[in-house]
Amino acid sequence: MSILLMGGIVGFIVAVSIGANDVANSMATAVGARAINIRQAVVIAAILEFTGAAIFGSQVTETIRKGIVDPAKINDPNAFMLGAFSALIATATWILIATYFGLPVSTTHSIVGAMAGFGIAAAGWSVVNWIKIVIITLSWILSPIAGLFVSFLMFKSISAFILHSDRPFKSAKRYGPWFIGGAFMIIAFSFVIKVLKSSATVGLIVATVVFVVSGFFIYIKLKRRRVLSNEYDEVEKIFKKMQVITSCYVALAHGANDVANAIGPVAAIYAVYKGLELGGKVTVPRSILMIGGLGIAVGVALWGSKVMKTVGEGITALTNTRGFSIDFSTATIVLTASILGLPVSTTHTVVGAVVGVGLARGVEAVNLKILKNILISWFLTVPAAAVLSMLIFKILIFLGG
Amino acid sequence: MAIFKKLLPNVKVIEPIIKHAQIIEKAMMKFPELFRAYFGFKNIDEIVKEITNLEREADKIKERLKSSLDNYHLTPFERSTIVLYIHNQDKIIDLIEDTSKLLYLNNFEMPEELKNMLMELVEEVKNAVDVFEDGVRRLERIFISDFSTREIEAEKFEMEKVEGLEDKVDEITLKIGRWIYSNKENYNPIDLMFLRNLALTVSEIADVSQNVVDMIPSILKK
Repeated sequence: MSILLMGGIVGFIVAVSIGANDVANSMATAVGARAINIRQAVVIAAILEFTGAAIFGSQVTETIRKGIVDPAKINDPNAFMLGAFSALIATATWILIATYFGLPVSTTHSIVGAMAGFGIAAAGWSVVNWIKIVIITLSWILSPIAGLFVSFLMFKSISAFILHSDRPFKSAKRYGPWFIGGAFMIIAFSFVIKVLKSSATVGLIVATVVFVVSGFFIYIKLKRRRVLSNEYDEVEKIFKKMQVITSCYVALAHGANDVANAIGPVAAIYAVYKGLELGGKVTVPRSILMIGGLGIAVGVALWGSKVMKTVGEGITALTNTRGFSIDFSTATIVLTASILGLPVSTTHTVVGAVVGVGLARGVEAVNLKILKNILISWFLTVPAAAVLSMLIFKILIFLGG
Repeated sequence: MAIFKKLLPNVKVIEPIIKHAQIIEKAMMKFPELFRAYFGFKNIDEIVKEITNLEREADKIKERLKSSLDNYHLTPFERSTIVLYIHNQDKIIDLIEDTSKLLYLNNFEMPEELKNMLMELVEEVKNAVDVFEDGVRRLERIFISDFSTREIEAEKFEMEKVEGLEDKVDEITLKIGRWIYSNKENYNPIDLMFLRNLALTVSEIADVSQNVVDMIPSILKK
C-alpha cells in the first residue's frame, strides 16, 4: 500500500512537471501567433490535457506499464512493483538534473529508458521487450519526420487553396472550415475506435458525419464575414480563430500521450497491488488516468502561465496560417501515436512540424542547430534514465524493499 | 523549454530590408530641402548631419542582417542573394550621403534655368526612390501570400514604374549635360566639372534603385 501511495505521489509530481514544462511547448505556437492569450492557453490546456489523458491515455499507459519490460519474466511481483517505482523516481530525478544543467530533456524518453533500466537490473537483458523498444525508437525518429511532412503538406494546401487563389479571403471562408473539420474528423475517429471500441467502419462513418457537420457549421459562421483590411490580414484573422481549435486539439493529443510518462509505472504498481495478472489484458483504471490528467492540469495552472509567457513571447515569427499548420500536424501525429500506444515526444514532433513549414518557405528563419538537441535527447536521456533507474532499484532492493 | 526560442530565433529577413528601404526614403525626402538651402547659400550642416545619421542607421541594419544569417538558419531566401541584395540597397543611401557631402565642396551663383533643372532631377529621383520603397514594402505581402504568382506579378508591374522614372532621370541628366557644354565659355571649368559630377551622382541614385529593383525577383526565387 505504501509503495502504491508513494508511487501515486511521485507520479502526480511528474505529471505536474509535465504540465508546467511540456504543455508550454505544445501551446507555444498558438500563444506566439497570438491566436490565444496566456490565460486562454492555461484554461484550454488544463481542461483538454485532462480530457485527453482520461479519454485517450490508456493505450500509451499500457505500453509503459507492460510493453517495455515483460512482467511475466519477473517472478517476484514485489520486485516489479519496486522497479516501476524506481523508474518513476529515476525519471523525476533525471528531469531535475537535466533541467538544472539546461540539457534537452524529454519525459517520454526518460520513462522509456527508466523502465528498461529497472528491467535489466531486475532480471537481465532478456526481460526487455526489444522489439517494442525498436518500435518505440522508430516512432521517435518517425514522429518528427511525419510532423515535418504533414505540416509541409498542410501549409502547401492552405497556399494552393487559399493564399494563391484570386480571392484569398473568399477562399479562406470556403475552404478553411474543411481544414478544421479534418481535425474534428480525426478526433471523432479515434474516439469511436478506441473509447467506444467500435469497428473502423463505424469510426469512419461517424468521422465523416462529424467532418461534414463541423465543417458546415464553421462555414455558416464565417459566411457573413466581410473584408475590413487587406485580404491576407483577413485570412490570417480567420485562421486565428481556427487556431484556437487546433490549440485544443494539441492539448488533447498531448494529454493523451504524455499522461503515460507519469502514470504508466503507477498503473504497473496498481496492477501488482490489486493482484492482477501482470502481463494480462487489464485495462488501466480511468481513475489512475484522471490522477495523471489532474497532475498535468495542476502543473499548467500553477506554473504554465509563467512558462508560456517565456516561450510564447519569444515566438513572434509565426503567422496564424503557419501556426495552424504546425498545430494541426503535431496534434494529428501525437494523437495517432497515442492510439497506436506509442510514447512519442510532443516537443520533438513540434520541432519537425516547424521545420516542415520552414521548408515550405513559411517561416523567416528556423534554427537547424536545434536538431542536435533531439539527437542528444535520444542518446543521452535514454541511457542516463536507464542507469539511474538501475541504481535506484538496486538501492531499494538492498534496503530490503 | 527554451527549445522554441532557439528553434525560432528572432532572425528577420524581410523586416530589416523594409526598414532599411524606409530609411533610404527618409533620407531622400531631405533632398528638396537640402537643394533649396544650397541654392540659397544657406547653412546645410543640419540636413547633411541628419542624412549622415540615417546612413549610419541603415549601415547598422545591413550589418545586423548579414551577421544574423548563417548556414544553420533555414530561411525562405538564399543567404548569398540576400547579402548581395542588401549590399546593393545600401549603395543607394551611400550615394544620397555622397551627394549631400558633395554640396559642401563648391557653390556658385547658378541661373534659375539650371536650378530648375536640378530641382526637377531631384524630384524625379525622389519619385523613383518612393516607388522602390513601395516595392520593398510589398515583400512582406508576398511572403504572407506564400510567394503567390499574383502578388509577384503585381510587384513586377509596380517595379516597372521605376524603369520609367529612371528614363526620365536620364533625360534630365542629359539636359543638364547639354547645358553644361553649351555654357563652357561662360563659367569656370571647375564649377562646370563640379556641376557635371553632382548631376551624375544624383542620377546614379535612380540607376542603383533600378538595379536593386531588378534584383527583387531573384531574392523571391529559391
